[in-house]
Amino acid sequence: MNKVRIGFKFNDQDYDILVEPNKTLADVLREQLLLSGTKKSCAEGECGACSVIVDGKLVVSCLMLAVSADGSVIQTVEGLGTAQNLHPLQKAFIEEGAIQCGYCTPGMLMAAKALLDRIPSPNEDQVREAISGNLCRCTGYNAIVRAILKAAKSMEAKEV
Amino acid sequence: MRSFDYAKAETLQQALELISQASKKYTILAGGTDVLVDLKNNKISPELLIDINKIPGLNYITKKDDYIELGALVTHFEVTQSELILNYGKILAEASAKVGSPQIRNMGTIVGNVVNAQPAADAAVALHALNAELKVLNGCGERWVPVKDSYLGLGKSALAGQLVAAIRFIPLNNRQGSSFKRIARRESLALPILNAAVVVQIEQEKFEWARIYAAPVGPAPMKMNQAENFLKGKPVQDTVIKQAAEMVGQQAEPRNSLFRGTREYRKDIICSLVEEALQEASQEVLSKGR
Repeated sequence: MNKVRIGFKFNDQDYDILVEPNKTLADVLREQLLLSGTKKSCAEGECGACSVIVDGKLVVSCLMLAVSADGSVIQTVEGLGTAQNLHPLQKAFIEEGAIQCGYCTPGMLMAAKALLDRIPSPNEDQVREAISGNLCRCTGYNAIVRAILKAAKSMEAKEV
Repeated sequence: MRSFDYAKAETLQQALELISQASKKYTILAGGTDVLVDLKNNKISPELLIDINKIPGLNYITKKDDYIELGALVTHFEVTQSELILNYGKILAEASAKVGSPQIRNMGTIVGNVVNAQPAADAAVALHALNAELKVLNGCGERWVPVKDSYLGLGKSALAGQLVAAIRFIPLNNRQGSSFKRIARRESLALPILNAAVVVQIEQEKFEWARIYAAPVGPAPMKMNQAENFLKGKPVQDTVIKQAAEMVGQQAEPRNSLFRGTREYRKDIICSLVEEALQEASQEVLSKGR
């Protein structure tokens, strides 16, 4: 199988790499670029743990071939914030207790980011819909919803 | 995943050339939400994957001549956001809104939903009720194929060896109403237990005609013609609608399913779904004063 060269913009950096066509974006992010922030759980698009943002759209990276990301702009949780400089979403998740085992968290954060990019002041229904493709077995979702609403308010406040 | 050769088509013409030259088993890749799952499960094992995602100009939703036309790469999400679809084919937006999850809706295409030939694919069922047609390209040219003719059986599409470039339907007008009803185990990330898709035309508070599709109650979305014929010319009344819905239950032939429930349960529930859909579609017209 011939490797394919792909180029993409990833968390504001330009990448140019060779990938095998039968590798998913999730696998390439984790195993080739060694960025394990994006989690693999069901590997069949049914849990949302692997969610990343490609060209502004929330997608499940386990159902996307890396070769399909050629020429795209990719955002993952690694680009959201750092330990020293947390994104308001990350801050809110911590403050609201929206993280227990943490496995769904990167996917949830990206789903939240994708929502707030589109709808800066969502209502609760919109938040629940935005995370409806992300399963969480620990929290029961309410803390996550609160965290996202809280982050939205704090980001709005900063804009003013 | 097994290995395969990968070819990225830059134009429709190139995609057709790749298909006609393919000496080996190939699969077309668009949104990937069905293809990737099948690749991972070894349900399909193509030797060549033809990626059509980068072909420009396939994301359109337009009103063209007398049709609403959608390009082959239009996603479920794009359908739910389109003014044209909400105004002229709302049932399709209702159906696409139920598919999978936000992530799946961002990736999956409605054309893919049809060509995958699954019996209860939500957008496909709505497209049956809209009498939609697929624009099928092959080496000789193009033709329009009704979606119901594209299903050969469970998972089998009549379109092998060809390429679908677009889908179109006649826009619904003021005398027509539509409704899509679905029952599933969850609101999200759930395959449908039952779908009902209904389009009606009403004049002077009487049904002129109705299109009623139910799924999965057979290998493909099923046209409930007994109920359709019954409704012709009948007044729009609760009792009439209830009778039509009961006929659907009698005509439907679902199997016992570990996943979807027993035959009896589904024959019962499809009546309620169709009744709700007929009520909603009728109200849509009547509230416009017809």
